Amino acid sequence: MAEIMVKVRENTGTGASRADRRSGMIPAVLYGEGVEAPLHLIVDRIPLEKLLAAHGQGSIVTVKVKDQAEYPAMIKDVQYHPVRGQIIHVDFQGISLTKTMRTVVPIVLEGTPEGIKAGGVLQHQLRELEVECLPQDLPEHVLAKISHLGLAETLFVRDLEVPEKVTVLTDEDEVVVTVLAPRAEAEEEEEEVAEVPTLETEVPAEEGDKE
Amino acid sequence: MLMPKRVKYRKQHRPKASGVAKRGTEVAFGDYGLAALEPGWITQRQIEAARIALTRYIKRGGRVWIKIFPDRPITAKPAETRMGSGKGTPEYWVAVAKPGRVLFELAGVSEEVAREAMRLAAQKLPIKTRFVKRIEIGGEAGES
Repeated sequence: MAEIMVKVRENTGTGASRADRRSGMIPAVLYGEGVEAPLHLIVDRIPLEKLLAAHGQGSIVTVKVKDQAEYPAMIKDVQYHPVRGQIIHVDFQGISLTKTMRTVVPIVLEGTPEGIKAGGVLQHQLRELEVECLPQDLPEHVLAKISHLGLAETLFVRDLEVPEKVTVLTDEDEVVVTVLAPRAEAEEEEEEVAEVPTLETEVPAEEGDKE
Repeated sequence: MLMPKRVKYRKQHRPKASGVAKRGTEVAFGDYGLAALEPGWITQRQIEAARIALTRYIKRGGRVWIKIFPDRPITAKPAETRMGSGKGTPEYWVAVAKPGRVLFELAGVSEEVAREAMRLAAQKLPIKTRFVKRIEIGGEAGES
């Protein structure tokens, strides 16, 4: 289990959080199982980025609070700045190592479908699988073998190979991957020269009555 | 071209474009996206031109998502008209883009093709944009 060192935040609020971010620290919060009251924390940006690059969101880590206890926790949420893309906040959810937990694991595709070689387009619809299991049984990812898929064929959640101790909560009929048949040229052209509706065709629902 | 089917009121105030996008800031459907870097109005024609540029470049492969919708009517007065006499007539529709908003998404093509397609689409838009990729929840350990 990966570890991350954190400190308890002394000042909270917008101004203090911005000051922390300027100094290379990311505001975070720890709550959940084994944590009496939510702890407001700050994490060093660089170790956090390395941790996320290596294990990703949803993974289990040991949160070591400086001069305090250690908590097994899951990286529940990571918020990014909408323009700059930097991490602005992290949620750690405390977990019990003896109780089952619910989380999402990424679905990783393996192989190139036969349908793609025949000109199809791969549509990856479900990228995360919701699962329930003990923290130690949590897989890093779920493999989806897609090399046998032909044109217009679909892989469902029920077709995924999931470790025995893991219960899948996502609906088994949900589509993971579809290989779409290539669109006909004519259809595409038709779409491009679609008729342009004018403003006169618009029907105002209420204003028209007033005027 | 994209426009609302029916609206409750024909004329609206001019849309403001201050602040940053609160929603639609992540690549949610495809693998690659085109994100706005500055605020602006994107007209229905510009959206259509960008869509055509995208689909032409990726040809038959791949799939395109348009993540903005021009739902704000813009009015204009006729040329050489004296001021006054009420608000002009609705002329076109715009979508308000704020920095960070993902405007278009693409899937089913290589990154190289996606970058070039998005570059061509960006040329049809009135604002600065950036090519973005999906943020995967898994880390390196989750990749095969």
